[in-house]
Amino acid sequence: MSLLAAAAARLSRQDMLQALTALLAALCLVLAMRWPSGGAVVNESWAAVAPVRAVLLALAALAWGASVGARPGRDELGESFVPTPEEPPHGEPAWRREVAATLAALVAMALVSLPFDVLTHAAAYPTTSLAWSLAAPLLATGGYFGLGLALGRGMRLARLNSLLPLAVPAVMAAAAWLDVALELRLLFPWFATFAVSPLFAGVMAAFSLLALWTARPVPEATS
Amino acid sequence: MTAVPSAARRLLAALSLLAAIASASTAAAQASVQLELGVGGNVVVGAWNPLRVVARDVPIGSRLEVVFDQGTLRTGEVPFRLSLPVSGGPGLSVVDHSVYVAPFQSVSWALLGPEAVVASGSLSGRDQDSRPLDVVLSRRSGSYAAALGDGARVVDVSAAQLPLAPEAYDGVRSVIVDGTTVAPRLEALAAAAAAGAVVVVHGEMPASHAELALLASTPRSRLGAGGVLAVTGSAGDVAAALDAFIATRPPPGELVATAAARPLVTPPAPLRQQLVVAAAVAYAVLAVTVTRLFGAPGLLSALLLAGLLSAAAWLYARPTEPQIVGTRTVAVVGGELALATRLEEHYTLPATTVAVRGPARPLDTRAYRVDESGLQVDLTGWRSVVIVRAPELVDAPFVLEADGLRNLSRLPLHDVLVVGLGPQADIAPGALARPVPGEDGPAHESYAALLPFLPAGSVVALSGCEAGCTVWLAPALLDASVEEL
Repeated sequence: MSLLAAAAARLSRQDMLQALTALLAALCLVLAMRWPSGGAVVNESWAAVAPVRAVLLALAALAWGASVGARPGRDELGESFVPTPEEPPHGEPAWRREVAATLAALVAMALVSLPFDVLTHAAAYPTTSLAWSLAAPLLATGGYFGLGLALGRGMRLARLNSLLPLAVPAVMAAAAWLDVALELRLLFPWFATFAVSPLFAGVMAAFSLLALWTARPVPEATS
Repeated sequence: MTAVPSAARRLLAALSLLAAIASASTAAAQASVQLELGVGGNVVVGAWNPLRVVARDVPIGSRLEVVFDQGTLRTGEVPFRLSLPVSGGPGLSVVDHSVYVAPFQSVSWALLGPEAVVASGSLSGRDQDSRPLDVVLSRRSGSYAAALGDGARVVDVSAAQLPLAPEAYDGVRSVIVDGTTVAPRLEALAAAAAAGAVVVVHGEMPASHAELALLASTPRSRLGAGGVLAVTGSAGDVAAALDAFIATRPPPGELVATAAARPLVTPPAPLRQQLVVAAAVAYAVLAVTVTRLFGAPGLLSALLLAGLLSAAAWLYARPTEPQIVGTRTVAVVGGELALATRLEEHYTLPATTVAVRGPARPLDTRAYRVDESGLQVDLTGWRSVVIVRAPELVDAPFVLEADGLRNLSRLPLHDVLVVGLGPQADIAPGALARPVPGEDGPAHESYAALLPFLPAGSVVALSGCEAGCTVWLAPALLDASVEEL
């Protein structure tokens, strides 16, 4: 199964399809609210659409990363447990394929929502370059997915899985707080969208590499 | 312990003496800085004023930094920062500049050397006055002050204090010379007249003032935006002649403000909101549907569609230029000269710093910087600023000859109008046109709002409208001819 087919299959599942619908609906709503109407000519729609898109993609990536990372391992489930194809045990080759498919589906979500960014960037003429405006959400998607994997695994090991739904928004809030406190564009995609930030790019690239390393294919164990 | 030889002692004493002399001469060469703002130190608020800095023995590479706080209690600090190089070194260093002085809270200045502040000072906001100056070069300035009345701001300056730059006379109403003091430079009086001041040559001039006859050869003549009057009689006669001349002169400040009231640029119109939102919703529905129904080919189609839509959005929604500049010049013609004030509206889409070379100011009160390269204003995205350049002297494009108006410029004059006669035919370069009564109709929008400031017989014309119109105004040029017609 190719990565494209795996991503399409993952994206067709109800959870991600609804998220994609919600993402596009949210962007349509923000676009309708911020695009100039009547006799207005001042177009500052990009300043709302781009950060909203980046934050929603990062939140989605963090949530699915944490969900996949928090899957129980074979040792917890028992040798006789037969998992569903959608929920392979942590660490197995099928789980790695699930990680890769989820990451690819998230990247597809980022690409599908790209015209909103390009349209508003073109019309609003912001100081930020288009390249960064497109790169920042992609970096945030990969980076927050990697961060989510680590978060999910950490919560599982700490036996705090039940707090995962709280931990995901808490991490986003902490990222925003940290950026405000340090006066840096380090972690929170909302702030990073507005200006090129090598720090943000570095941190997100590191977490993205973690995600890619986790998603690397490994040979099936032979018994 | 060994005794110091007497020769060495003498050498030490000589060295000590040399050090003492050097120290004394350093103290004598202590730096001094004098800053004078306004003609003779009289600042006119709401006008260009001359700024002169005379520094003595300041370090090489010094800079003058002046900060005008134009804010109010409501707006807070709105600084205009002026930064100019001062050559420095032993002896005198002089810096002459013209600055526009808007109403201010305070003015502070400092001369900064490479390592430390050499001198500093301030000017209180209470010292400001927006009344124009009546500059008197006379030993009897009191009589002129009495004749011009309580409302006049009569200042007594020496001939050497008259600036040579035309824009420095922006806040000067008149320059009165009666020949009882040192003769002023002819260039200074010509600059004053052309810049809009009325130069009054009062009474018979002594031999030392003989060259003033070049300017005041007739009792009344226009030069640029101002004029020259040769008046005999008392100081009261001077005041009466001055008032009569000023009544026929359009107020320069109001001309500029009126010309700038109409927008100079049209911002790019965005795509219609309904169209954009409808296209976005249709795309979102299509992307979700094909992804759900057709698996990998569907996702691939959605990605291709995203790419195509992005390219189309970039092509059709992107304004062609990040910054739009519109210009209009208002020039007041008198004799062979015209005083031109150029207005530039800079409309920027991305946040930027607007930089303009040469002396200029923003029309409204806002923070800006001026240095030797020109003016810089910071603008946020989708905002505009109207820049008013310092008035400059140019050749008059037309003159009144016996048979009519002759176009002396290289550009055709169009939309010609004589106030009181009506529209006239266009005048080609070098051509002569006799003013005739024309049909009444709506005046051209470029100058329609300026007509109420002009007396009958004034000539108005446009030129160079392909790159930003110049509105030429010649007040009362045909005053006698209009009555005949």
